[in-house]
Amino acid sequence: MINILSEEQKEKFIEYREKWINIGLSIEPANRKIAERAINELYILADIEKPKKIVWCGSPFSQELVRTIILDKNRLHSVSASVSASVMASVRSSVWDSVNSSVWASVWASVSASVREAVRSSVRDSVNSSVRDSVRDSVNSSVWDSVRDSVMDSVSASVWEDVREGVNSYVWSSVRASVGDSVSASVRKAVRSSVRDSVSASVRSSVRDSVRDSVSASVWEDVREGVNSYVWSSVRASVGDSVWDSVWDSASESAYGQHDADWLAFYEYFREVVGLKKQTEKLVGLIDLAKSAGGASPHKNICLVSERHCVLNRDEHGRLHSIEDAACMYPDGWAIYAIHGVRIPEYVVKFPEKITIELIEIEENSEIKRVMIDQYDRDFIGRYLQDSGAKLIDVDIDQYGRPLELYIKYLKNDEAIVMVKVQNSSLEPDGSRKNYFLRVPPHINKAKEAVAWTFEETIQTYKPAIET
Amino acid sequence: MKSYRQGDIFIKPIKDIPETEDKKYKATEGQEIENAIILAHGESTGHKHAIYDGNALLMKGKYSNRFFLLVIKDTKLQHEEHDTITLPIGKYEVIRQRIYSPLGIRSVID
Repeated sequence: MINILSEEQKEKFIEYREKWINIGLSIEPANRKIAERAINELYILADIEKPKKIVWCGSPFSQELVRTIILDKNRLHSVSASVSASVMASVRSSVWDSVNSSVWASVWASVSASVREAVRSSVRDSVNSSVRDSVRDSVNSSVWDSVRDSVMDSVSASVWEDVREGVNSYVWSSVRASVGDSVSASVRKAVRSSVRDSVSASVRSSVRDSVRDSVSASVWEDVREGVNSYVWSSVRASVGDSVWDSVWDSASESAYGQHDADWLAFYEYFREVVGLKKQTEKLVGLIDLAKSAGGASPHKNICLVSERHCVLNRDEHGRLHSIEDAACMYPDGWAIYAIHGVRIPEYVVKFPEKITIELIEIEENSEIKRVMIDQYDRDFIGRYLQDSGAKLIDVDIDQYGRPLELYIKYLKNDEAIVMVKVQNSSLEPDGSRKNYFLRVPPHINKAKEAVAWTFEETIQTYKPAIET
Repeated sequence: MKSYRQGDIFIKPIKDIPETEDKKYKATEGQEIENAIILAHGESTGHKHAIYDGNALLMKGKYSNRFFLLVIKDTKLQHEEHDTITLPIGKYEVIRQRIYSPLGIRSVID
């Protein structure tokens, strides 16, 4: 029984945090040899027969499509339109438009010749975009939802049958001996009732219990505090929410890989630093997989595995972010466009000149709408205000007699945009003064108050003796 | 005590650089240009609000984003586009102009 962590062990927190952040955010090509070995190991450790076939996919998206094509056998033999529908139904509508020909090419490259042959006649049409469009048009949203749900359920179930076995056998073999009945029951319940939960959540809670059992309560607290705050939470913050959610919410619901960095960091720390080898033995395959590939969907006889992202751009808060190109991209071309973590259609980033006042007006999602307005204003802040007919609510002059104007633009389902229009204090080469807009909080209704706010002052306190 | 504004920078007199912050603020000098302290850098233009005469110390927050200026002798605040301002001896807070965004307040970048 380990009762205390040494200073040397505590010093390793940072090392493990950094190491796993790098794993979670890696944009290196997958190391296929190591990944395939890890997958085999993963099956063996979960007491599942090794997969007969490991299929590589260019992205989690392709992986999801391939998974649906391969596993949904009944639908493979139905008519082409419904096959197309079922294939597409596995994909959330938010990523529909992300399907491009290179992704489809990668999907087809990933599917074995025999499978391809079997489905060719019925699925062929789904490869070209006109069919995709017609399917989309012919399947209205209510039909779409029901098809999608039924397909997802059947696929999820088949995944879980395998995965849950592995999880359970591991949990039970290592926990049963020492964890009380109530804990066992709660773990069992958690696993059973969380078919739709992510794999990591249930594995994490189960394995955590078994590690907990190996250390005393006081050390456990110590470790939890230390490891959680230094390793777990920070890795999670850097990798987890922002990247994980965006990528896997879009495409896949059940896969293991580099984005499990948070909890694998936790256990690898115990394994390597604290020496809990036996307790963490079953995780070795997963750890090696996470270090070498994007993510895998284990099934009986077949395991699908994805490449890692090859482009990853984030803002200072770790959210997916790029105002010029894809924030996240995979080798087959599947990409996620996002600004400060808000996922947006591709054109908002790549062709912002296509954004119109009308498109902004009809956008229902207020986060996307904000991004569209920012992009509309990319060359000239205040352009949206001017073009959309904002209301002038205050006119004033500053201490040098230069005009100040305050505008408001009301938005549906979002706070109003309030901006003050001011004149530059320095002269342009031709002797004129440039105007510019500064956005201020929506409660401000005086132009002078707005200017004062921009310097953290009030009308009473903002009185520069000299301004140049 | 008077306050001053040079473009997107507001120089506000203060009684004291916060006592409790003393240990957190470290004088910076000679960034990029020898013997110059740079109060703010325009990202797109490359222009800067700077003091070259060595008569002031910029106290930069180690844990916060607040900046203070300790003027030891009358000094000149210069900028490529704005007229020079003479700052008398004293203690000041340097406030960068900000803009509002629903996603968070940020500094003006000229």
